[in-house]
Amino acid sequence: MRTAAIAFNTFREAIRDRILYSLLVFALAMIGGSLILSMLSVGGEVKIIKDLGLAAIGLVGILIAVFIGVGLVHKEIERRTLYTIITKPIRRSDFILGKFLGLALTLAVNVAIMGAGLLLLASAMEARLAWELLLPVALTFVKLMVVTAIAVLFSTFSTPTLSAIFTLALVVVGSLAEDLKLFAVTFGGPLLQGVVEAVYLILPNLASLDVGGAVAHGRPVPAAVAGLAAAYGLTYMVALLAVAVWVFQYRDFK
Amino acid sequence: MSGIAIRAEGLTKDYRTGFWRRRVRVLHDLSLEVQAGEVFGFLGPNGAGKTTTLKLLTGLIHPTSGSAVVLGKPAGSVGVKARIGFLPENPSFYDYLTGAEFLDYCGALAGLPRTVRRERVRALLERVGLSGQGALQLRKYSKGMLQRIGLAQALINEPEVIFLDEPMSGLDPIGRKEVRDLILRLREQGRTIFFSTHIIPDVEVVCDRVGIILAGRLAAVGRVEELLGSPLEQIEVTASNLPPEAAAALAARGVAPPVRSGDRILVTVKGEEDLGQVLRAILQAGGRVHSVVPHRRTLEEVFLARVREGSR
Amino acid sequence: MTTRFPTACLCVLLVAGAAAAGLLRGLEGFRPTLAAGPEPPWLPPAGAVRPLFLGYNALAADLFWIRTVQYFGGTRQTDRRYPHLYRLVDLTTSLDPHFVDAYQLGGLFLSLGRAYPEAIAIYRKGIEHNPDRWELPYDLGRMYFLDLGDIPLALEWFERANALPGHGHYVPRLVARLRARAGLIEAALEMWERMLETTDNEWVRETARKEIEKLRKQLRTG
Repeated sequence: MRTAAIAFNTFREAIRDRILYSLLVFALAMIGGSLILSMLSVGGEVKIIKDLGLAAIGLVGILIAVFIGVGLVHKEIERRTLYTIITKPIRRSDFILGKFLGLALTLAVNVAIMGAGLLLLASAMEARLAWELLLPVALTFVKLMVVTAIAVLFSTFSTPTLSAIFTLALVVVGSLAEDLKLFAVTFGGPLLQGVVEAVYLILPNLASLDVGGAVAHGRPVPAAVAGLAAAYGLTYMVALLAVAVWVFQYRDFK
Repeated sequence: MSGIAIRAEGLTKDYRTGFWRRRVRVLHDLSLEVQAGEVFGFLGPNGAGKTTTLKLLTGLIHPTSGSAVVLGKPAGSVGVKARIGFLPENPSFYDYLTGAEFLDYCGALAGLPRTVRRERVRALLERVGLSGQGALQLRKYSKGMLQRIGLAQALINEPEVIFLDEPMSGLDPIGRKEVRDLILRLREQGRTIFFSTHIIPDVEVVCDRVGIILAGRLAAVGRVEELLGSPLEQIEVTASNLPPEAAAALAARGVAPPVRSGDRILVTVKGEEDLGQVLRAILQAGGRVHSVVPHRRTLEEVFLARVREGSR
Repeated sequence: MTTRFPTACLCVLLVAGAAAAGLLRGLEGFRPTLAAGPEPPWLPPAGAVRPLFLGYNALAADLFWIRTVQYFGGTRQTDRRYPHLYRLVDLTTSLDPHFVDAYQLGGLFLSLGRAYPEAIAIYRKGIEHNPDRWELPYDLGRMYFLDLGDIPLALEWFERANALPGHGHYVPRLVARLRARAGLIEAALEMWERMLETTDNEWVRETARKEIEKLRKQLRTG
């Protein structure tokens, strides 16, 4: 399939990019560093490793998603490599989706490596297989897919710098979604609450995909919660990609 | 193959530029037809709208109004793209891929199965003279090599219509000849070729018909000889060692003011007959003929001539 | 020129580097480093700070906890009260209310610093947010017992710990003994008798028999 060919080519381009390796090493260093940090504490040693490890995976994942994602389409337009590709018998939607899937595949591989590193470390510390970490890692991956979709969407019409700023801004707002809502409920009148409620539904609620806190405490996460969160993330991602395909369809490549 | 391969009707393109998003029209109501099996040259100075036209015909941009139809279907539709090839101007490709990897990727996008791809990549690399460089990364390719690989990818799907934007740019004389030969070979195979350039000699050798575009408008369309005229229209003769009266008489014969430089005088004459008389006159007056140079018409001259003809 | 240029650079590097190191030393003399001094004066209220961590509250709690541990450990030598300890523990546990270790150890540190009202506050906060954890009422009970000598209150908290699942195997015996100390002989007897019936451990049964005999004698003599 042509989308698969584009996806694979995007993946190939990403893994030949040195920045990716730097970020991966950084993440693994953070995970290793959490071990040292835990030695500074009395109590909560394993918790620190899990919290910091999951945060590292999330942070590095977001960096990869944003910094590769915002250039995915724009780079091709600017370097004019796009011209020979779009004139091949592919649909424009094939192109966008292929690019997205290629980056998703790249992220999957990276998250798997980082997750394995964390799993090894936590399991070694607890002398048991810390398989409960798999759930927050999986949900983090879903979160990264949403962030990637945001980045790709901006990439279809904006420069990498602006796209990065907007995407990161949305990531911050999305992580604070719950707090914003709480703020409106505490301080605002009905009008403000209505506005905030509408905005809350439109903006990506990325915090809903963070279950690491509960897991690090050994508290079980109900399957319904995990399932709903994952489904929310994936449907939101689909909505974003639909917009991206639409914008890209009518774009002129000067 | 017969019929009309490319038809543009009333193609108009506006862009919005600047802070105030002013509308700028870069292409005005362009209409032309290209027959199947033709080699059509699209001539124009830089910035005239050649690339814009090509992009409209290949579906990279959408017209503000008007239509473009290629092989009977709207330009840019997926079905049409399977039967065309496109080489952009100053092409650049994924520099992290090798030449062979890139061609293989293009083949995959064109829907070719793997066995077919492998063979065709090999054949194309040979055809454009890059057999040895298939394993080299594109970032290491010279401009000429990039141009060749660009031609190769344009041909990966054995297209019926091939669009080339400045295909000779950046090539040395040998390279340019090779491209010309390639175009001629493609025509022999019955393919239609539409290519743009701003250099007239490229056009003269290979094209059946030519279109001239100036400032976003199609100024003229027709066969090469019709438009550019015979080189014998204007001939510059340089002579020296002429006594003053002979020189004055010579200057009077010319169709343009004479140019003097020291002992020499340059006169522009028109037509074979005049040329013969002028040369005889120089020799009879005891002067020396230094050079006889046929003067090619420039695009502007063609355009101005067209305008003059139209207003007559 | 070609050989003098690197030499010049090297000289500048050495001189500037030495100067920088010297200046840094001078700076250190003015400001005591955190390891020596105890002050983290800039602790914000927990509610305001929560959003800043973009959802990584638990991690922030961890980092504040490490700060707390270092703060406590660092100032222990001077054996002063730890004026900021409560605020640090409170902030940590506000950021992550389920961080049981922080309640336990925070309470312990506060009690070691003889800040008993604060310790009680921390323990109670932990119990409120984690009602299913037996460790917290147990630790509170122990503090009442060992540090404050308040038997009735200690017993109350031990009873609560005993009622929660997963409590340590020693808790029932502690409850039984304290019941006896508080004068609730019958209640104490009842606990020992139940233990005798339910346990398989021979040492526990021996202990239970001894205690039952002692208590029955106490009852008889009035």
